[in-house]
Amino acid sequence: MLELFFINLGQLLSLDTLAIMLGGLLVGLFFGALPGLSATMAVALLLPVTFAMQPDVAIAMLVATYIGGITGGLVSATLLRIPGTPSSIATTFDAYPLARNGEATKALATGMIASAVGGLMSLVVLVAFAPALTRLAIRFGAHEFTALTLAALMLVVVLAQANVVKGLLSATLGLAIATVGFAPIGGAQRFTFGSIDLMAGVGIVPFMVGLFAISEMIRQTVEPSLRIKPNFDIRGSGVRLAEFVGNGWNMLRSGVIGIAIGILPGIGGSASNLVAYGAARQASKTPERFGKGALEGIYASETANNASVGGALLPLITLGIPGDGVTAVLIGGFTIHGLQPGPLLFRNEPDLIGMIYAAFFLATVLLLVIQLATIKLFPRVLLVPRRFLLPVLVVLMVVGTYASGNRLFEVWLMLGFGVLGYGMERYGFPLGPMVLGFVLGPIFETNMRRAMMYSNGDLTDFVSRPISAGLLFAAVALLAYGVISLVRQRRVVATS
Amino acid sequence: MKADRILGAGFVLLGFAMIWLMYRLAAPSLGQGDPGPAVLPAALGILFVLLGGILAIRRVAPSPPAVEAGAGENADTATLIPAEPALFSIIHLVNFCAYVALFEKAGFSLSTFVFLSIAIFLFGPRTVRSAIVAILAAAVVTFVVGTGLRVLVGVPLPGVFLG
Repeated sequence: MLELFFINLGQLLSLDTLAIMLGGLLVGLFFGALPGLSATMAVALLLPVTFAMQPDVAIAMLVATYIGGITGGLVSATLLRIPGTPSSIATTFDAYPLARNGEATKALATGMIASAVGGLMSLVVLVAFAPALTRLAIRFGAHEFTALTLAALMLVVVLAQANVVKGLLSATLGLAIATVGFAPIGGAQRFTFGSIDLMAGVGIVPFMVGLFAISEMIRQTVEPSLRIKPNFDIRGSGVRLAEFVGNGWNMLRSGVIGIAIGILPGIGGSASNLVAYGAARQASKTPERFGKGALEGIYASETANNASVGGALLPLITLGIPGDGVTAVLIGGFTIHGLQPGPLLFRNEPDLIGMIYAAFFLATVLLLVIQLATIKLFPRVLLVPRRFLLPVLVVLMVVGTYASGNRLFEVWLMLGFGVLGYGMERYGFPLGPMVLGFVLGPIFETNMRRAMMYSNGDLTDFVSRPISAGLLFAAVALLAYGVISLVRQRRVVATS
Repeated sequence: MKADRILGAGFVLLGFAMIWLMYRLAAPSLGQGDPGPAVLPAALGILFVLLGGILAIRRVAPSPPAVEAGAGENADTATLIPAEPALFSIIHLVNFCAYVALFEKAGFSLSTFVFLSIAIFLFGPRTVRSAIVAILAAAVVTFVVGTGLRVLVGVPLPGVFLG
């Protein structure tokens, strides 16, 4: 496979193919940066463009667009606290405070480097262990998914900056919001109150944009804020080698989390960045710096979300199972160009697999080079006077949210979530568990009901299956750890 | 903290409302062992009641000292931007709501132009010159965003002038 990888890499290194890949990357970056426009839309938009291309070039372009779309959220998350995609939600936690502190270039560069590291890590895993890892992933049934979502939620709740009660309330609220609309199995209406708009449920775009971006707009309007001019008087990107090396374990851990979550269908980058962020905070010697511009947080989030790209490609290539919307569109594109993902692909079309790997590698490297070369352009957006910046951002958010569902109702929802997000942050409720609860809610419910039906209502199956039992044990241990930490913290405060 | 007690009580009420609504939900079971669509929301309602209750009644410990993000090495370039006066905050909210309400009825271009003109003017120094600048900037942004998204990206926006 390694030989095929290098042969295909050599084929891609022609000027024409590089230019086409660059086009795909830029479209992906643009769609990823704007809320409402997603990597899925970018790949879908470019799919017809690839019809006239040779299969290898077309696949290279689609893979480049996908990677650009996932990475694109970094810039808007860092500079404006607008997570263009759910994959960059945790990036806003530390990259945005760092950028507001005048270190926008450094925050961006850190994220870009971490993204490349995450992407390359997942590529290595993809090349080396694809069939073996996929066999492990398909052992995950409904019981295991149920336990995994619980463990992921507990990790983020316990490691959130607030206390456990507020973290749990936040996660519960996210789960509750996800239950609005038709139930994922059976289609019963819940909390719709007869409203047709609510029947479709709450979309991720108004939820995400409202909680993070609109709440920030509200804060900047009703509270005094400190505006610091971005520091452009730095050589290079501002990233120090010692910081990069010092985050080696952090990136390795986050990459593993990203790949592991990416492999599992339906979860992907939306959850991996939050879980990796929580794990990095737990492992840090200075957890109190998280949320205030800690580099470890940026490294963790961006490594994990790009690592989940390679993870998501694993079941797609080896089993033909798309993990999410964008990989579903991607699989359609692969099929149109004569590549039939599935177990026989390694035997029948090893050459095209090598092409996917080579395109993945080249797109990741090309992306890093372009981003680092233009890094001092992006922070200039922070020099735009506030009186222009805030209203224009509001217009982009309204347009993006409207475009995501073609419903004005979603824009009203966005405003509502903006007020909710502002209020929650003001009173110390962390937003991370709420977002994760919202993302994992339907996955948890669907798998929990399936598991119960498979087991005829027998709950003991959750603890008799080894992977499920291990994950449930981890969830309980995390909750116990959180409660013990809270009690200890209260004792320390009481005695001092 | 008083706010925690009020919020905790609010979560308790929300929890009871969820339990009551799910108790009334009539949905058939899909097979042996299926807990039904009401179980998760009802369980979440119970969690709201329990956790909200804890939040409302617990003895409040002071928070550990937080490390505030300061301006750091770039403090010399920091500018303190005061909050908007309460009246202007309300006008911004009304302007935004009017924008959303008119987005489909009046179309993207007209509603966006009016919203941007008012918002840019209010965030600025509020002089005649700034009003002219606001109108010009609003026109340019409306044209670029509307035409760009409608024509180049294919986003189906309603009422785009020249789009």
